[in-house]
Amino acid sequence: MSNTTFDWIASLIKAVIIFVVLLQLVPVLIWLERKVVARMQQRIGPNRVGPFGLLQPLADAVKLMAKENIIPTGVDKLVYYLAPVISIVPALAAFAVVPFGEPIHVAGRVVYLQVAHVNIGILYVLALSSLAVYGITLAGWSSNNKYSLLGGLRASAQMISYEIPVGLTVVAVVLLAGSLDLLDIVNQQVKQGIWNIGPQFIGFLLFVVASNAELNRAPFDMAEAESELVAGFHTEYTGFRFAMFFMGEYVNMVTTSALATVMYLGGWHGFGPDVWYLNLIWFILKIFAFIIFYMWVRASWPRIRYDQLMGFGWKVMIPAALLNLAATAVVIVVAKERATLWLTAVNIALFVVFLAVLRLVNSRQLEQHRQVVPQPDAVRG
Amino acid sequence: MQKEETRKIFEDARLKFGEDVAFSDRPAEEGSIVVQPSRIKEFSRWLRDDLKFDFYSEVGGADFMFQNPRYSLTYTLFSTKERKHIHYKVLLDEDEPRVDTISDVYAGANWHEREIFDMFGITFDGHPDLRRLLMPDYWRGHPLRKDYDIGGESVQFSANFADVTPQTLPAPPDEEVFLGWDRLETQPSSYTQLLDSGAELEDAGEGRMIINMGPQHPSTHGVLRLLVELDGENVITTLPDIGYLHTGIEKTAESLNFNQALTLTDRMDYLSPLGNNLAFSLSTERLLGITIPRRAQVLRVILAELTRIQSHLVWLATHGLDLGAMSAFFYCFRERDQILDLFETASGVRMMTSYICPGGLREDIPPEFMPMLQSFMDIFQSRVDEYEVLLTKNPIWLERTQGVGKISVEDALSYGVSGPSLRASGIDWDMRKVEPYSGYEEYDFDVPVGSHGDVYDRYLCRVEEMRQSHRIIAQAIKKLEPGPVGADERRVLSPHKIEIGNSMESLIHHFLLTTIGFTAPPGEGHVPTETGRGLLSFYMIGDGSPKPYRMRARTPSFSNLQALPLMMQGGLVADAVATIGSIDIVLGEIDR
Repeated sequence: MSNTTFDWIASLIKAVIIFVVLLQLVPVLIWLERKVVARMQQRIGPNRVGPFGLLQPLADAVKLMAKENIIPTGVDKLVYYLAPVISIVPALAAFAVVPFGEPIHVAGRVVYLQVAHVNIGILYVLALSSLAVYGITLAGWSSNNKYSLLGGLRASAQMISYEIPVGLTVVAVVLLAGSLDLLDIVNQQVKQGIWNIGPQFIGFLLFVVASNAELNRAPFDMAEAESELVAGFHTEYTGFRFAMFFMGEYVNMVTTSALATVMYLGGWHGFGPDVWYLNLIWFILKIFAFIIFYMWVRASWPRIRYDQLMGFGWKVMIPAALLNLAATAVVIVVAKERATLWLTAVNIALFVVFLAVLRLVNSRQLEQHRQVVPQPDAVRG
Repeated sequence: MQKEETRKIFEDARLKFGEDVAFSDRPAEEGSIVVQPSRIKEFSRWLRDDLKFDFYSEVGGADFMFQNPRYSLTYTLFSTKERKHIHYKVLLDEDEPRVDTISDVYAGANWHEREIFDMFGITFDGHPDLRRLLMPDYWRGHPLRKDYDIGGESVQFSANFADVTPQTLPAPPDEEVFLGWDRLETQPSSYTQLLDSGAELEDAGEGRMIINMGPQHPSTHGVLRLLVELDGENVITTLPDIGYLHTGIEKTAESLNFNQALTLTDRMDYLSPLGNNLAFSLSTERLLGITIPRRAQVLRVILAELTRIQSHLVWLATHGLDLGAMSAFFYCFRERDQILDLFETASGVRMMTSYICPGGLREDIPPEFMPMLQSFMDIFQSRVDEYEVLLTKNPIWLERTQGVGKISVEDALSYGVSGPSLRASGIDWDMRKVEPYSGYEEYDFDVPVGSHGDVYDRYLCRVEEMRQSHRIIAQAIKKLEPGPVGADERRVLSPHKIEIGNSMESLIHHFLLTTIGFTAPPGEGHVPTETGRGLLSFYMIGDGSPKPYRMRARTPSFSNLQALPLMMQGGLVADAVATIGSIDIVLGEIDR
């Protein structure tokens, strides 16, 4: 068997596994989200179909597939059909370069635990994740519905704005690793002795917030703000086309969490022996930690307003990401070998400053409004 | 006492208006001033400017068929400075009833006059937008007129929109004066104007867009429809369209006896049924001239305050949900369920209780009620803290609510906005303090007052009100003593069950009360009350029969909603949602 054939077969097997696992994760995540959020809200969540309601997403999927596909009058048919596909394909494809383990040796050959070992992996992920916005925008535009249109418009503006901080934080990580290869980024974290969450703590926070916004999840779920825009961009979608948007959203969540794990949490490395199956468990655990964090945020916070979201993106996120990038670059150049240490210190200091500023802003917000003190029983004035 | 004040004002008015004003003994305890239709605007302006009656409450109509003049309009105003109210009336002849509008004096009169135009066919000269309000535009006849046919008529609306355009409807019968008809064809209503201009704007590429929020929309809190003109996401104008939940409660009440009509009030503001029961019962009791035993008074206060808490909890839950804070929703409903359990224990029904009735309460509370109430009281304060932890200092919540949906005190008063929505603008105005009923003067509680009149202040006011209601209930529990819960009035309340078993006369009396009902003397009764949403009052007119001759409900949401376009102006779509949530409307009582 030639090397090329072997690579082809290996890639095919890996692609099939990743595809199946990712798609199977969607119902699990839906179940998990419903359960987790329910527990946070004093509810029980699904518990009728199957043990612990585990089969509930399956029942929902069957229902969605069996549902009539309603196509509203006046839609742009081609785009309307294409939009859900556009939103799910990049989500799935982006996972191709995410490494989930140390390269292993099979029959004397190296097999990378990622579908494709690309040396510009991170650029590839960024490119694909910006494609996802097309699905949402086109869905909103083609639906011939004003709410959908508003949802699509919001989504395009929001995702483009938050793409920038994501890119800038990624660049800071790339500076540390000196490579665009995700595998190198993981190895470098092990080499420097501390995961990137230390020297890039601010970057990590920015990445989590910005990726939350890019995922269109609460409190940044502008595009489908159900209390304002009915259902936003997918108002006019039914049946399986609607399900595809849903799947796209959850797959994106997994991809983003995986990316965050690889970039900041040392990928598959954990404590204990360094064997491939334990590594896989560590990797999955970290991904789920992120996902549950996103769910937690959704259960606790109100939705931010569209203009405030944009203001936050351009006035806070982007300058902060730029500063982080500049600081990282300067420290790397100046401190050379001891860059990691210095960066960690700088980040912790910056974080303290950040908390103080946040507190100040919040107390100013509160001060602007006097409390509604109960008045004594007197006539006004 | 109130009557003396009215008389004093009347004497002043005599000097200014001469023979054009007269004093009337209806309602018996308050009195009213009858004004000539031609001078109504002048009179209203005089009351507003010279006598400082700044808070507009309502205009209500009544049809006294076979009397001349046939129609009577009753205007009610409050003075926030002197803390009193006044009724004045206009009597209108049968043919071509018309009167000047006062909507330029009090902005809130706009919708009330439209409602009267809709229901009685009285024209208001100079009204800016005289269209039907609750009935569809193409409706024939005026439902609250006493000669309006009931039963047998075909339904006037169709599920098919093409059928209801004016072109396809048959011409109106000649004998009927249908004032709205020619208006519809000759004068484009502002609604169609708005739609037309919207189409033009869209054609001209101005970037303006009309979106139709509701009647099926997640955040309109029922079947409210808003036509919102948008420039990008900025709200330019808003036009509320109501009437989708119009069930003719005021008309239906006229063919039911008092105890049956009481059950309709539950269904008006379905989030504060006992508050509505209380307002209805108080007005009916004033009409009947009966007093209520102390135990019933105290229990009424407990139930009314529980209802207020319950209503505020639903408000907080849904308001939070509108702004995307979904967890608060479930926390609030957890406590609300406890209150509904209490109602169920007391009355057997969770929501439509009809438990407070004219004459007292239906039954005494069962023994298990008090321990349940106590266990609720024990936890509730800490639960309110819990909601506040989620929202009050949350930066996103602050961003979303501060400075949004503002309304000034003057505007709010002129529109008749009441309840927490008014108090958030910065005026201490609570009917429980201003004109105490059911013994509220004995309780020690504070009225939370805001200062900015925005969504955040309304939020703070309501949350504080829940705490104050808790305080009132705690005091009421201490005041509760054994005793009867019904007035000693055999003409209103049935004899006790044991007595019915032993005495034939009692059985007959019970039978008559159940089948026919008690009769109310001719006259009028009116008691303003404070529900969770604001000023609720029933204007009851009796004619000596067992049925209310007219039951006019002045509902707080109606006036609060009317001020919505003002609050929404200049905001974003997301602010619109926040503002609608913050005025806490219930469409059931708006459309009635």
